[in-house]
Amino acid sequence: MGSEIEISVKDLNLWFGKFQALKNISIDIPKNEVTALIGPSGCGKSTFIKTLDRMNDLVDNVKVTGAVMYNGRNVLDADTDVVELRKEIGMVFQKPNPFPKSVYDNVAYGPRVHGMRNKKTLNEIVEKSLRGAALWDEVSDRLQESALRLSGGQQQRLCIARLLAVEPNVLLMDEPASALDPIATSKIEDLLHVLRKDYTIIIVTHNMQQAARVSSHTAFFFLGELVEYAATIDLFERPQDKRTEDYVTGKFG
Amino acid sequence: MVRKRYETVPMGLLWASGIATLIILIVILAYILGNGLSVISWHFLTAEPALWGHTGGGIYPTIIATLAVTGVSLLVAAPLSVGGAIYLNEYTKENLLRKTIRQAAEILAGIPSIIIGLFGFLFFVIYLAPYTGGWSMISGGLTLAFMVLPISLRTSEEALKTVPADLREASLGVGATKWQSITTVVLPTALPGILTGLILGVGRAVGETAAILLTAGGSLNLISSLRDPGRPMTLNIYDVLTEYRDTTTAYGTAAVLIIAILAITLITDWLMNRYTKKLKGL
Amino acid sequence: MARIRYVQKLKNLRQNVEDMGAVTVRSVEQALHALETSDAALAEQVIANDDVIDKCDRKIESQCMTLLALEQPMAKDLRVIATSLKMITDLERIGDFTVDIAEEVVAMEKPIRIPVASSEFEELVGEVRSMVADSIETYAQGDAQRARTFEARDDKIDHLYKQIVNEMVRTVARRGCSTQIIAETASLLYIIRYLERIADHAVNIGNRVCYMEEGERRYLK
Repeated sequence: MGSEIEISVKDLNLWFGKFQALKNISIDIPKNEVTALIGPSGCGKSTFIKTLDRMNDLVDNVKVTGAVMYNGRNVLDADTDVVELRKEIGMVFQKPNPFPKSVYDNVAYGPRVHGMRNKKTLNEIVEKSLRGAALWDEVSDRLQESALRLSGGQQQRLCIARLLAVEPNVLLMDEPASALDPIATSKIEDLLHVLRKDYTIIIVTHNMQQAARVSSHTAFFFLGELVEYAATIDLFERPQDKRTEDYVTGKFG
Repeated sequence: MVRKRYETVPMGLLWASGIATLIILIVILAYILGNGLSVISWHFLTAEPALWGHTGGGIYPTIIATLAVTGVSLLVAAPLSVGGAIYLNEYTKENLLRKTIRQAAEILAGIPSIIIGLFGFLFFVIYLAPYTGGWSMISGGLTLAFMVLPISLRTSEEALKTVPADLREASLGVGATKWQSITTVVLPTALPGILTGLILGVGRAVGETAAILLTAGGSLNLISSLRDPGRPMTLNIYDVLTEYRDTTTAYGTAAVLIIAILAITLITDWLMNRYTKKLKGL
Repeated sequence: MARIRYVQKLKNLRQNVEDMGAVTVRSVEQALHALETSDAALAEQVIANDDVIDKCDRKIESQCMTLLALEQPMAKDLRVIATSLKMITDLERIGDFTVDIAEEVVAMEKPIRIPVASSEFEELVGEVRSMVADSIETYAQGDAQRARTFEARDDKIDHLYKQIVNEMVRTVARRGCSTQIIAETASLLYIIRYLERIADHAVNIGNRVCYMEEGERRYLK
């Protein structure tokens, strides 16, 4: 890969109690590209991205070894400022989860919890973020309305705007479109093509065709292992590992 | 068609049971309000009670006493229950400690009020007399707090539980601290449930008699401080009936009490409804 | 194994391509036989049968498009379909060239005598025959190794071709050739030109088979 590396994972292992969910994962995520993680249910891909922003800390009985190098430091170190980390590595979830507040307050939430109070600056940030998420045109006249009145696709883009407001470097997306209809899905996918110029994006998806459409690199996870990682076209046109071949041709999973 | 009959008979019985509750409520309300409404007047609500042997007094001091004792109990119970619920739900995992605390709350809720009153008497009235003033609003309020606490702790915990986990994750996902997430996202969302629980507790406090009997004192004088003894409305009904056979005042007090409780319940419901709708953006 | 119906459709596709290959091989055989025995009737048959090859082409193309649109094929499945799609064009062109050869046979009124380089001519014919048949076989068996030998064999064919052309031109350039001889020679030159082109298409098929099996693309120099 010719591009710069944003996150470098080395020998990552993770256990939930006795169950080993991630086995010796090593992978370099390129900067300002979309990397897709595919694999059957339960293969560890969601667990993997949750490790990158330390979201797995919220779960009981988790043990992690290995290194996730970001910005020259190991994210997994005990002295990592997790709050700051999550500002730089943000996550979008499968089910859109806007706060039960207004659209404006949702987007302004991030900057506000980090201390931003200036009304004018907040307004600018909100507009910039909503534009960045391709949502401004649809909500600019309803910023004070409750976010829960937006459609599913709009809510998901709102969640993206919420992240953009704190100016992250990396966007983690856990099946962001699986709860959305095809048109909303396309809008999110188009958005990804625009966003990747400024952000490094890692997307978990169980929809292979989506991975094929949006990503430049794809990693195939199976039973907690990273089986194959290649440029997307290579992984889908000529996979090297038989397990990958069987999965992408739909012969199992 | 025989099967249809087997359907309608149980349906009818069930309907009757449902209606029964409504009928009972209506009967009680009708009886009390029927007899008591006429007693209520501006004078009744604002005047001091008549002296021994005379009639025509008011129940102003008892209203104040009720407010005092309820206020004290809320002041103590609210932070303890909400804070406790936040600690249990947000900061601890589902372990033995949590289960024990929950079990303790349920047992506490089941203890007869007279026994709690007895404890209050021994502890607040006698033992802590220098601080509470012996028979006083403080003693009464603190004792009531013990009864409000288990209910509101439980309902607050339930309310917090209903806040979906992904809202907390979303908040953490933009880099908020845990405490920020709780105060700016979780609590506002859980507020209706929490407040409802507190109101339920208040209802219990307002209507409590046995514990009050043993701790509040029963004096008819208007309280000048919380360390003074007083006679809340519930106690007044009992006293007035047993000491003076004054059914008029009793009905009047009862009517005021019932109207107050009705008002609190209905207004809280309405407010929470509006708040919830606003949250949902409807 | 999942997608049983889809897997069966892929099998059908490959079978159809092999069948089209078989028809094409037979067409080549018949055309060459007609040439060797000056059988105008057989040649006419070859010309008529080209319809079959064209129909196969259209049918298989449609099959491929359906699979692409409806089944989202990936990896090897995708390569099989892409290979089949390209290959039927090569087969169809081979079919057209056999028609051209057959037309030459029909146009000649008497049996052809090969004036010179007859052994080279026979060798050329033999090589082309076997290459066409082999190309279909490598597809059927996914034999990329054998397919890789086609380029070298094609080099040999090109070499023979040039040899024959030189000889014939030299012969005809001598004074005293009748128009008859010149006309016959021209026909033969056309025919070996067609054979050389047929071989090129067989090499194409071989290269596509390599891609199908291994995912690497090999191109004609």
